[in-house]
Amino acid sequence: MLIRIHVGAFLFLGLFAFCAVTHAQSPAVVEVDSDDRSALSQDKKSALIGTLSDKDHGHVVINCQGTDRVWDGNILGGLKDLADGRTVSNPKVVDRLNLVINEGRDKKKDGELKITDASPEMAKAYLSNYIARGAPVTYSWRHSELAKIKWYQVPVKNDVSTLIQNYNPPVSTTVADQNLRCNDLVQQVAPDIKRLVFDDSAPKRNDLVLTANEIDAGLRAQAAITEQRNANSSDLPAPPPQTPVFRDVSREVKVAPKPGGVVLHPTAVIEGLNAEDVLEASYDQSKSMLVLKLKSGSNLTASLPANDFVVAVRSIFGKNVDPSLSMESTDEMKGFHSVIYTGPLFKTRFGEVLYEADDLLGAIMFAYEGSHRAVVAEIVPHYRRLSCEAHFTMLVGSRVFLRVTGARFGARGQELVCDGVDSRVEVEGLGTESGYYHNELIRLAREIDRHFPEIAEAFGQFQDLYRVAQSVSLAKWIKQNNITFDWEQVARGAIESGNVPAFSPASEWSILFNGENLDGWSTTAGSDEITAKLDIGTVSISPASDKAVMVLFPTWYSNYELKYTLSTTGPIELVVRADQDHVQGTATVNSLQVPQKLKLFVEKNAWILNVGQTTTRGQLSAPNEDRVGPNRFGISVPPGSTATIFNASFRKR
Amino acid sequence: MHTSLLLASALLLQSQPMTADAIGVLRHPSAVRGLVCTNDTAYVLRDDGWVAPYALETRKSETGIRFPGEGVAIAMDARQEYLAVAYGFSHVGLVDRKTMNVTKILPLEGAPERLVFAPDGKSLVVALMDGNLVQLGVPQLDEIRRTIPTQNSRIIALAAAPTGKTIATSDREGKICLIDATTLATQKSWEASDQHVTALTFDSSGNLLGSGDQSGEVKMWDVRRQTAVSSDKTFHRQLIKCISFLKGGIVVTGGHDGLSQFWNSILLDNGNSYPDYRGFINASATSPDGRWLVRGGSYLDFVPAESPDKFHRVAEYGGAITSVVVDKEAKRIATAGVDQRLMLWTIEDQIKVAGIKADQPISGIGFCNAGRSIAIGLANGEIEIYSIGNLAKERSWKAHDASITGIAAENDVLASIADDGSIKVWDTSGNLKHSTSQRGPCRCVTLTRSALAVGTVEGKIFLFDVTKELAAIPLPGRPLTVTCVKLSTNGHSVLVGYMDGMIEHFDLQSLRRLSRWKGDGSSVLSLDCNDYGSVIAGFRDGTVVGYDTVDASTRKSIVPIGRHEQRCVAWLFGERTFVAAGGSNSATLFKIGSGSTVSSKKAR
Repeated sequence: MLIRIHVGAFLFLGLFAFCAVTHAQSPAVVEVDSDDRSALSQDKKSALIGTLSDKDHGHVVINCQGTDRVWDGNILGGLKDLADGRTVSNPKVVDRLNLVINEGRDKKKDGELKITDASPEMAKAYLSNYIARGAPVTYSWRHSELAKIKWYQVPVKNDVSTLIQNYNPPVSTTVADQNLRCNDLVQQVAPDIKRLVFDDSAPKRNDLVLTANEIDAGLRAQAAITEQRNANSSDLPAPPPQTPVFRDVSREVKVAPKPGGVVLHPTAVIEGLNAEDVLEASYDQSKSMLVLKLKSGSNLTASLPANDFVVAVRSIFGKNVDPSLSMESTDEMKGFHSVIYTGPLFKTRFGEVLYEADDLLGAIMFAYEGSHRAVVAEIVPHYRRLSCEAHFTMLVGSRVFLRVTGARFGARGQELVCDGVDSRVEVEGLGTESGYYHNELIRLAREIDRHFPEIAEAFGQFQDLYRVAQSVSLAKWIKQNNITFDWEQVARGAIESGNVPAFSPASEWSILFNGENLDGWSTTAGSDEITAKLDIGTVSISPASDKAVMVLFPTWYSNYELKYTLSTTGPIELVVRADQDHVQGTATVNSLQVPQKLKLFVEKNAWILNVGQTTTRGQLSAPNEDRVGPNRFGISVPPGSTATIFNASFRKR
Repeated sequence: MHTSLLLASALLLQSQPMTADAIGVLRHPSAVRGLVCTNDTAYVLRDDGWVAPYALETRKSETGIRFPGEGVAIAMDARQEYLAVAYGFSHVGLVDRKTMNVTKILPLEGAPERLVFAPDGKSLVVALMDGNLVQLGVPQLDEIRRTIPTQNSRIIALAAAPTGKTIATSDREGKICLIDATTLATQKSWEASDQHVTALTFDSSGNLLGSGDQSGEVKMWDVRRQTAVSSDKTFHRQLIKCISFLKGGIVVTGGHDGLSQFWNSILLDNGNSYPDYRGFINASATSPDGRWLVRGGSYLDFVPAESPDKFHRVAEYGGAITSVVVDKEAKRIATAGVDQRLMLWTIEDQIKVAGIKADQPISGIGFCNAGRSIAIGLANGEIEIYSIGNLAKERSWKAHDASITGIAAENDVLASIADDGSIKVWDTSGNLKHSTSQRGPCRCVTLTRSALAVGTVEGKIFLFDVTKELAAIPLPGRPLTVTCVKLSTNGHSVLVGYMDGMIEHFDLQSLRRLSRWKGDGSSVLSLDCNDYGSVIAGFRDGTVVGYDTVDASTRKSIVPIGRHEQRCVAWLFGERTFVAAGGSNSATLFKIGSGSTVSSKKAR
């Protein structure tokens, strides 16, 4: 990859301070964000490989060039087999093939196709389509696994598409083999993988057939080496604190009337059971079982883990509060949120569950960067735009919390089974603005609510939250119905210890580009001065007149970090910082049509631009202390150049 | 309202723009402001001026009355004969409680903020915003005397003892004063807090006074000794707005944190917390028989005193107005929003209002059938038509598979747009005339005569002739969401507002851009243009700005109305009066100051 960087700091009509031309080093294995896949997979000299290890043999895929779809060796091999008149019998592979051939079909209207019914001619057509387009990543992994997938950019010598087209899968000798071709495909596309894996984490055996778990481990080790090498050579500023802070003192409060977090006050509804029919309730901790003894003489039991139910009982009976956890702005520790909670959550697994659910909820609602975005975007239509719009339009600070409102149970024989947990994402203005409705954030909340069952299924954090909510709901039900219950004995039960942070890092990366348009940014270019092309996940802009197009984003911070994934034809300027009147510094970059990840650090009056192992520095021209309005940053595209934006994110320093 | 107008005045002085004065406010109910209670009925004062009696047992609302202006405070005398209501900027009204007839209206020199009846019921004591305490005779409301309990301070809270002749006030300095209700002479005063004391209530004996302050601290005072019996600041996180004493020594406090705290005794050492986790509490009242506590703010709850966890949520309030339309004669204004309410305001000698509550948030409204009906578009994709006369639903139909994002109407033609990119034209009977769809969600729509314009999230503007099959004529657009579009009254040009605040004006014949006004990053959320070429635009940052399509260099800041979004603006009468509404959940009528207009030149 060749990049050219020109840097300078100047007032509007100033001159470049100096210029530099830098050649990047030969590419190594680099871990990339899931959001950057469609951009970085355009590079013909590398392949993007997705890996996820598991307790069996793991799974690997190749990202299709220029998209966020993937080629899966198991699917490709299966289609080849069928096209060649062979059969596919591995059920997992058959399931995936069925997903592929039904993509875009309305099953209710058009019926469902079965791969087992396909003739070799049909299979050839499916194969040809699959080679051209691949398939969504959700056909290779479940929603709940998506956030755990790691993506690596690996150097290749040959064009990936050509290799896919010419791929000949190994002949399967067993049914199980049909589900292992993913490993072979990855090694065919990137033959260096085998050397890299054996160099750094040689499997402790003699055969040379790698499993997906071994590929995952090898690429992870190689990516760590690359990251360390880049960090050593570029001397970049240390990131803000990333790890939670624990304290040996409880952060429990009596009541948290305005939580920014999660609140458990679910009402249990037990279908077919009248509370008056229950004689007494007891909890057998050795079996993790709640027993409702009925007046009829029979019992109903509910399986509830002791780590959940004991804390629920301590909270509902002992403290008389709904368990809740809240993260709030604080002056106690700079760069962190204060974590407070109601109920005896200190050093409990229960408290950890609430913390992790709240952390994820905040990331989803406030447009923070992370692997969760790709998963939620698969589930909630237009999630990227909705979350960015809610973020960009926030004039009055808002509080978001997840309120678990109910749990529904039904009797299956003698067992009480949870049929579902209900929750709602609540939004309101902060402090005295609690009567204010931020329409865009509320709209996002309702969309999240509408799809929350699927979201909860995709994220272990919410599954755990729903699980502990079941215990809380039944504890509340027992109390509300005055059922005989020795709660003190249950509350004394021993539970595993957990770790609830006292302070949570507050230095999240905020997403600035919604993947659909330039909302949140502003430009003085009118409709006759800007040419724009909106594509899936990208926006390309260029001037339509002889004036440069400047696209800027506001911030009230003076010190910040930016990450851009950009592709340019011709040079463009990164506007490092500008106030109302002056551009205080720019850096000129030209990616020569190859999507590049750029990192920009702005602190005090200096800036650092980093691209891979190349780092350049500059000074800003103005002190930025007496400004009236916000700072701005962004890009300026001169006539003759085009900038394609794939990603942009911001973090305050 | 006063605060925002003062702020507006300050800014106007700086930039020398034209002036605009608020001449009226049309409020959607956003909060309960005050409560009083008999054994069987709660009287609820809302911020939109309604006083509604609710039967405590059935929770049914009986016939109420609406005062013309913002509801501020309510009180009831000990004999339960009268209700007194402070409303608007300067009025107090006396209501016969049994008949709910207004018996007397008194305009005051000064804004009433709080009021109580003297314990003997013979006078009404009103606290004004300027710090005056005014004694009015009942029922004539004749002014008897006035005093200022604390010089240079406002009265932050006001309470009357149930017996005897004492009332209590608090001020900005945290001082509590005990005042003789007959002479208004200060009898005693003491420093009660280093914060504003925001709530005061006497217990039934009159010997104990509960106070709550801005920080959430609650205190119980021995009135005779002026000493604190107990205090707590570990439960409430924001200012206290109300204190109630229940039978059995139970004390209930509520405030801006939405927490209803039931203290077991006046010692404030233990109790049960009932947080709602959202919203706020402004007021509470107990029935004299001790059976009910009524609390209100962003919701209205009837709480059985014996089992506070089994309360009844009678109503919820609050929202944002998303749509305002004015009929052709400017006699009717319709407002609607996320609170699902459609309100129809008829402007005659007085402003009359009628309303309905839909099943879904309302995202668009339009007068149709020559002004005899009104159409609303809902978040579930349905369109409903209501008659203007009695707001009875005439018909409804499923118009889109996705949320409707806007509707526009012109006589018997309706246009609707939705989140899925669909654009449909209907007659008012629900017959689909034309439909088409665009890539990406549609965001805004305008219809004038036969011209239809739609703006999309992809930054495109499409023009249609609704008398023909929908064939789109695209305008160039920009790569940002088109947040609002407005066709000129003659249908010859269209104004386009974008997410970053830019406004462009296109000629529809040549499709050429006539003019543009750069934004400052704050989204244009609403646009309207009158016959004189004057444009008003409502912005996300709460400002309304005027432009002149004749002289494109004109950009006149009219008024920064508040902190919240101006989602809708519309001219009312010619070029001097307009309405602006949005995040405040109210619509404010403005009159542009004499001698100034938006346009530099008069009618073309």
